[in-house]
Amino acid sequence: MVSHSFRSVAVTACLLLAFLAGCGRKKGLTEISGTVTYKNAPVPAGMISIEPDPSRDNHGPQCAAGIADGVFRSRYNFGSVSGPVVIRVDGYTGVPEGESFGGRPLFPSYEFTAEIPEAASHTLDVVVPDEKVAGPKSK
Amino acid sequence: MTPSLPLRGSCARRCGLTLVELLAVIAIIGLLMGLLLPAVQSARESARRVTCANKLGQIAKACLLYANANGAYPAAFTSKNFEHMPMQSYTGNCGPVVFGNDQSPSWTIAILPFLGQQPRYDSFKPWTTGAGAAGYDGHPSSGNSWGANFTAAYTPNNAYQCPSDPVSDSTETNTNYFGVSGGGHWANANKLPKDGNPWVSVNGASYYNNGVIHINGRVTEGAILDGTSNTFMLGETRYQFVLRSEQAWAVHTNNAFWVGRVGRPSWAGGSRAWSCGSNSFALWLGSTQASTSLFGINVSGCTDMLKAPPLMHAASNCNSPGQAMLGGFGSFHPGGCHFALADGAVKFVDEMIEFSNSTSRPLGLYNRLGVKADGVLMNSLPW
Repeated sequence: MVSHSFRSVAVTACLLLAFLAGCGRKKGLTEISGTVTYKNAPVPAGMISIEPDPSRDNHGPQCAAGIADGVFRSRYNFGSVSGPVVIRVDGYTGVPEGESFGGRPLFPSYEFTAEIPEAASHTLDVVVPDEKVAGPKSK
Repeated sequence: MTPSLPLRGSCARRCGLTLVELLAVIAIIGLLMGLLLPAVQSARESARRVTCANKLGQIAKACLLYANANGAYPAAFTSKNFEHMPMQSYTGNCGPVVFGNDQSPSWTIAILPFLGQQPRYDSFKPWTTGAGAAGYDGHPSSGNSWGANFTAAYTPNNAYQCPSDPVSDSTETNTNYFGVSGGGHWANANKLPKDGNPWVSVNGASYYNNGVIHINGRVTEGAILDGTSNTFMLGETRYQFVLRSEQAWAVHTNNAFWVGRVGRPSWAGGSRAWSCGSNSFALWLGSTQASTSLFGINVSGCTDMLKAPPLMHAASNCNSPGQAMLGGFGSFHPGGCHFALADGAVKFVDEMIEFSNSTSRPLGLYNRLGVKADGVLMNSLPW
């Protein structure tokens, strides 16, 4: 009986080890998902790019995703590096025009900096500033 | 006399398997299979990856042979429309489109003789007939160069297909290998390039022409100042520049004529097409190139093609109609993709390679390795 229980414990331990070996978050990237709005409306189409900010000593791969109906999500099991990042958002009308499926751009590329926390996932809600509302053009 | 009898007698009680024991055995076998199968799958994938890298190596060698014979690496394609590149932008929207008179085929066709595919090379007609009145409608009977080469362009070419890509089967006409036309900062395709910018906007996508295989390229070995062993020449891709989903295309153009004729990816360059007023065009674009400027390796997931901005590329693993991915280089191998250097060597590049293309920041390593003369060498990489 002793040897039996020892065996079953050993087998269980081995299986557990084998099981756990396949787990673990890969590469320490943070999966990003969120929303993009412009003038209080979801951005119909576009793309978002999240890149480590080399000028603040952060290096690594890009995280990019398409925006559809104001929502985006990074590729599964891949995401953004944590720390200081540069984020760039491009938005389009989503109404096909000519040979452009996405239609006309809604606003010039909107670039800003942010901090991505060290976590498995992170929600990022981007509000693209409306230049006409944010500040009257004084120049 | 009968020594077996007593044995039989004892066997009647002990030799049979109980149902529980049988189930236990099956469970254990199942468990072992479960442990084994992923290993088998990964072994198969690694075999496919070797084949995939070998194919890239063959294509790279064909490019080198082409360079030996012609004095320069093949251009992505040549066209008078891009004669003044990088000064001229080509947006394709309702402008005067004169295309084809002296346009050369994509590099994927130009190197065919050096890839052991001379008969296939011969099956392409010279690029001599122009767009003209017949229009570039992509129809085989239209008599223009695109139409005349329709069949040849849409004959699958296994030499350009990576077996790791689930879509790359004998009936598909896609390619898994792009030329690296250059690299640099993010360039918003919706702003026209100023004179002297090292990139050009083509149909909403921007290409740098500071790499080895770019539009109107003909780059000589001597022009690769970083050294041929320090510059990307070809890269693996899982993204097709042209629409995979003909259904999406039909919805967009509202013109059934296009369905199944244009907008399909082709290893031979494929086409882009659009309608503009009463005129419709399909464009032989040599869309078999990409820059290391827009997207990193394997960056994104599927998204809705019909809502996609111009830079979206159809991806071979987004199989639902109307789906697309952000394009560039990538693969179905875990962790990165292969690149061929200008000396023919094939390297596996980790998808975690440093990327930075913001116009207000210094360029990332990945973005600079596509550039042939910027002083960034391969030994900056940790391999």
